[in-house]
Amino acid sequence: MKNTFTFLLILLLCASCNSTDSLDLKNEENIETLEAIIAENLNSDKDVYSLNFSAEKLTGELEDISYDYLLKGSYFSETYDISSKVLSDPSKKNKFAYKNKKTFKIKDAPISIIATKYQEALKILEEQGLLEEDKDYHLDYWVFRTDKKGMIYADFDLNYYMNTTTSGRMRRTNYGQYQFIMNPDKSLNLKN
Amino acid sequence: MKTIFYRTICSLFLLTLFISCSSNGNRPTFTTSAGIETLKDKLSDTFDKDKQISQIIFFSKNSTMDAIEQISIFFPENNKNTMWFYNYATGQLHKPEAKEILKSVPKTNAISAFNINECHVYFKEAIALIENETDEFSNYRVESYHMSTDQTSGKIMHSFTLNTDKKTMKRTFYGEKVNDHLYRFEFETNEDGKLIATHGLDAFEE
Repeated sequence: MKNTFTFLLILLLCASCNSTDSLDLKNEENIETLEAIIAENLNSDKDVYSLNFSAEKLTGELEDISYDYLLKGSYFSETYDISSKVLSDPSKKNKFAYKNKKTFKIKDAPISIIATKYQEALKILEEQGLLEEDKDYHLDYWVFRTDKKGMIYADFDLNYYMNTTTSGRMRRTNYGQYQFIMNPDKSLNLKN
Repeated sequence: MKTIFYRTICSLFLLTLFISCSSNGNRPTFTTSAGIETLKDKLSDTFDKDKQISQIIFFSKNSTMDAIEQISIFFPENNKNTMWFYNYATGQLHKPEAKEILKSVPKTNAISAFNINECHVYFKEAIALIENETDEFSNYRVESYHMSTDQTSGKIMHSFTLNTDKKTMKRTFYGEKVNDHLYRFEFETNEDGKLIATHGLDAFEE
């Protein structure tokens, strides 16, 4: 009986370890996995206003993918959760945020260049003397959107750990952030 | 020794079964007319029907049951916002000390003016509003039911939250998700006493 229990415990442990394959967008080798997840779980032909990739803060590990779209005069957003593999119910958005906005198809978002652009962003930081050797720069957020002409561009954030302050039982982690924009012609600009 | 143990377990089991069955008949709830009558009896037994109150709130025991667990009334007393509540578990009317000082005296109505029969009507109307839009839900029950005196008109307004079970695992545009099966909808009456959905049915509204 005891043996069975231990075995079950080990099995459970293995199962839970297996499912925590982290998916870091900045790694080139993860792009294929990401494309497979999208092909399998999202409708590639869907017309969306934005396609968002959100990671757990200061880890770069992808947590969810969300997008928003128009249906029968209403705007909705849906979120696909990476670890639970569940696509959320549609949640209604305020229509005023979508005035004059243009859509793009999910399959037209240039996902394959994310890792390359991350490396380029680091280069920009280096050129501007902002890059610190001992720090990790986490790609915690990436979003594809369209400009006024309907051209796809992207905004993304690189976060880096600064310090942790403790007051009583409260722990506070401070981090810095560099915001980049990838223009429709794929060129990068540092926003801040 | 062993048989005595089993006998005790068995009799305890039967007793629980008996208690749970017998209390089924007069369960206080908004979902049935019998439940409404039980609630009305409890109100008249517990509170003075002429007592002036600003609002009354009914809370269910939990999200899976429709039986009312607690009834709270609010009224001004000695310039303080006072709340008393009857709890079905304790079987008592609790009168905690009022602390919140009122800036102005709220409009009130006598307890007898709060028409509990209307709650059942509105409950059924709410189900009709949901089912007019979608057939994805079943097993409707009240999470909480709130009747309050409108501070401008002095009229009694209703607002309530319904718990429902989603029939399938399919994704839905309706209701507020609490968990995979439990979805919530909210309703309230307008000035004309017409019931409107305030949350959960607006997916394709302008």
